[in-house]
Amino acid sequence: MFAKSEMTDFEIFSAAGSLPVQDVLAIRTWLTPDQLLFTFLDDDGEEAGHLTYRGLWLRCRAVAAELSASHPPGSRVILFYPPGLDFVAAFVGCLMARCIAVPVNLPVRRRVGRSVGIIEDCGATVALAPSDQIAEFKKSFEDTTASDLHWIVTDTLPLDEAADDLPFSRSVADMNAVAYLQYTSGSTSNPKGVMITFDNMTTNCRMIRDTLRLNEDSTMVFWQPHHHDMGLICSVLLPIVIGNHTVLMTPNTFVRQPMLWIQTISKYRAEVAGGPNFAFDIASERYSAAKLAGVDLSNWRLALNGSDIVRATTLDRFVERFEPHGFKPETFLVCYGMAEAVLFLSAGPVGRKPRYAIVDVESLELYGRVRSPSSQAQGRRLVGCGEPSWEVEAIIVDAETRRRLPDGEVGEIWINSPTVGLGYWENPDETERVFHGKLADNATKFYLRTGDLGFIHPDDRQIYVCGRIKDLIISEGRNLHPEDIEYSIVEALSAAGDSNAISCAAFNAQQGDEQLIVAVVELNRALKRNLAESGPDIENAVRRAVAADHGVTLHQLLFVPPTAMCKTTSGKVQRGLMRQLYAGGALKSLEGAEAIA
Amino acid sequence: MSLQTVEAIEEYIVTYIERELHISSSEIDCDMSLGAFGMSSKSGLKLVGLLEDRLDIRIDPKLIFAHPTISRLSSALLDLLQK
Repeated sequence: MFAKSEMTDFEIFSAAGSLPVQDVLAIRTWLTPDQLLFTFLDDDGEEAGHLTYRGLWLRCRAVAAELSASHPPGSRVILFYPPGLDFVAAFVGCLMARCIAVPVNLPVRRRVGRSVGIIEDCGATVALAPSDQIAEFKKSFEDTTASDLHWIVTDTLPLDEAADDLPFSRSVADMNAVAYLQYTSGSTSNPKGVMITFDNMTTNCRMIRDTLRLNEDSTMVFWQPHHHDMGLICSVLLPIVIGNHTVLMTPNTFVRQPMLWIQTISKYRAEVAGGPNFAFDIASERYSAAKLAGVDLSNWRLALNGSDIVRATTLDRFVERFEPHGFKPETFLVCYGMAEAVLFLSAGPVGRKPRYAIVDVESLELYGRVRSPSSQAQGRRLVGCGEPSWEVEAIIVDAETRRRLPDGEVGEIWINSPTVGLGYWENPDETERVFHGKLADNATKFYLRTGDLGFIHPDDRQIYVCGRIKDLIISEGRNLHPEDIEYSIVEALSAAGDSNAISCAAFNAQQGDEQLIVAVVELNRALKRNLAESGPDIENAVRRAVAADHGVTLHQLLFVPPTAMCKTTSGKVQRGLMRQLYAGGALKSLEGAEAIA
Repeated sequence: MSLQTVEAIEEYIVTYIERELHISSSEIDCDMSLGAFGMSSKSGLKLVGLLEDRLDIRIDPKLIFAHPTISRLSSALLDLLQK
């Protein structure tokens, strides 16, 4: 493969889009060994670490050599790293050794249980960690089933400076072998690891590069955690594929000083930076004219917004705040994707303002149809999550009949894409259910059932995401999105003296032949006191609001302590689990609050 | 509001907790552990960032763990300010 004295730009471009990332790193090390690949910033935004292409190559080789000495290809390797460059070397080192990397969050305090669950699920026998934290991590697994893990320190491994000998053949014979496991879905007690192959990973990086038109000049700034799909792909693998310079910050730096993120984008003239919707909210909230004196965002070409519901008001507010600093509305790039398909499925077109659909709420909820609002009050503004990549087939399906729906009707989003993973690790039932969706009239083709509810707008070809399908609430023949009912409940509670961040789960429960609507509200101190004072009034206000907003009866309202509320690691309420607990009689309302009403 | 006294800093933190964690100020005891209010590491970091902006100093996030009540944290911050 590298028996060449030089390569044309065309050859390099196609090699970067078709070889796994460790081979692309080999080529770039050969081409531009001393070019800066990563800069890592400390909490003050000062440069605290650098890696050139050759620097990373040597470190990855050291990790791979150490792993290969004791672990055969296919071994699962769990990676415990704080944000930083050590993780990059460890992850790519696993790929080189053809061990299956399993990146997870740090095993501290109440997260130890989740780590143990993942280690048991994937059968990892070895863990990689940095030298200054390995003792602490090891200790956290004492007295657990994971206490006999074999630990390898990676940041102090000796580098073989003579390891410039580039491979003469591809490092991976089988591109359909599993490269890594992504544990983002599933609960603590039932973790689910998506099997991502070398081909999935390579294809998704190429799709992002091509859709976003990225090249070696596309400097990027990212702070997303590397154990999530967005952080792993955008901030660890994509830079190697496109051959750019990428600046990394920690999630904590962003939360503490969001303006440092904005300043960093300006300072490095970054073309690409982004995050979930909340990142843009926090940045607008913490806007500081003094800190942004001299900040120039005119180089910022792509502000990625994905992995959560994108709100039109968030985009408006951010543009209003940052337009004076050179931010352009068409910089927003709203995306859609999921870990089951590596990361990315749709975005853009790039360089255009986000697309909106103003739809009639009643029509959407009642008939699953997209219509113009019958009155202004009935209108809801949804944000388009981009057009699917040309490599992705996205269809809208009636989840009950498994028949394809026409454009403009709401159904489950199904995906056929070369980036869809093999399934969940050692979980054939869930793999069958989620990864092997088949249309009623075509059993030969598999689709990924995303569980997301949405539509494709016939006018702009955008994917619009409305909610999650399995959480649908059915009432008197109507389909309701639980998000909407929860929104009304939270609003009503806010009006009664509490503000916005109350978590709430609304779902259906079967009682005889009747489908009840049940809502569970997480109790906080203020709410508790208000309920003690005027419980019946508050409950009535909530029921009134649900009825007025959606025309349905809320049958039961339960208040539970925070410990009884099931949430994902990212803090989203798990309605399905809450519904199961309720159905099993395991949910008890505090202080008989529901008895009052 | 200039934060030049322990009381002023305390009041700023109480206001933050009220807004961020939805606890009425009348319920907030300045000698209670911050953890008891349900302060997460994320909301703690946000508070550190806000205080850094208001006081115009750098604050080590570990300060919250070392001084885990509103009154102790406020005194420690005032000490930092006067250094």
